[in-house]
Amino acid sequence: MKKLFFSAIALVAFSSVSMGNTIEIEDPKIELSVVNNDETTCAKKAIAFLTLIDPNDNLSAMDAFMYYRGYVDACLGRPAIPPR
Amino acid sequence: MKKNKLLVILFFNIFFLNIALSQKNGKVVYEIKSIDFVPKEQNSEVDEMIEKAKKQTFILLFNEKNLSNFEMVNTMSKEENPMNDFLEKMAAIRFTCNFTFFSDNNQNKNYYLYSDGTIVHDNSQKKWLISKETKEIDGYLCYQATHKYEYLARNNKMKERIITAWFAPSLPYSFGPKNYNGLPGLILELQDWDTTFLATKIELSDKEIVIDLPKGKTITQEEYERKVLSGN
Repeated sequence: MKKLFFSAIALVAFSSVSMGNTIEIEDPKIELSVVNNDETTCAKKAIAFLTLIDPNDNLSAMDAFMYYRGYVDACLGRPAIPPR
Repeated sequence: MKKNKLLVILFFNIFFLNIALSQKNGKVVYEIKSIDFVPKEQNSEVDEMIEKAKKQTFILLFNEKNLSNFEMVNTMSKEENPMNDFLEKMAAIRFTCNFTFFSDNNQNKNYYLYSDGTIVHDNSQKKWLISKETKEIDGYLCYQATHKYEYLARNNKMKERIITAWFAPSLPYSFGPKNYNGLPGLILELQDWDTTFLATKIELSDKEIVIDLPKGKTITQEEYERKVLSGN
């Protein structure tokens, strides 16, 4: 009797879980929003300036990165490390 | 009579050569002779950067201990001006020299001191190809030498750059601007990419010029590039 009683309770419990609300999403839409903050604007300016001063990609990878970081820092008003 | 004349000439040659050789210390001022770069579009910041580069001055020191030091004369403004400081620094990276260089020719050791305080050590020697071409620079007979090297460009391709130097054998000091040394004479003019350095003042002395090599932890050029490119 006890076994039958507990089996019935388990059956009800699992049934209620399986009947949980399932929502189907039709045609999910993903919206891309661009966050245009100061750093992004400065980064774009840095790349444009780099292309202007080095149109043939002759700068070394390291120098180009140092330049890029320096430009972004200056653009954002952060003090640049001066040449020694 | 002819014999006496020859003896006198020989005597003076030996006399002045001894003076030159006894003056093993020197200070050379390099200025920018020209920058052969024209941007495709008009841009006031680029123009200002080029003007700053053209005004940059450098000092080369060398001494009887075979040490040398090359660095820019500091032209930073007294007032804090991020954009001005940036243009000065970028002018150095793009057109002139953004490091202070030390060499110990006895030990074949080179040191590069960057503005972020990093000391890079390098023991490579420049391989020069000396040609028969000559020209006179400020009264000194100079010979042409070229040095080729490969490097990783910003488009991730290996590129080759040729450096052209004019050195004076009558100034028997194997030093020059930036990190270019190893020629049998002082480099008086050097073309690196679109910039030409020119020695505008040479002071030789028998009084020792003290050059202190940088002290502290050093890393290799590869390690420094990895550090910079990782954003650290």
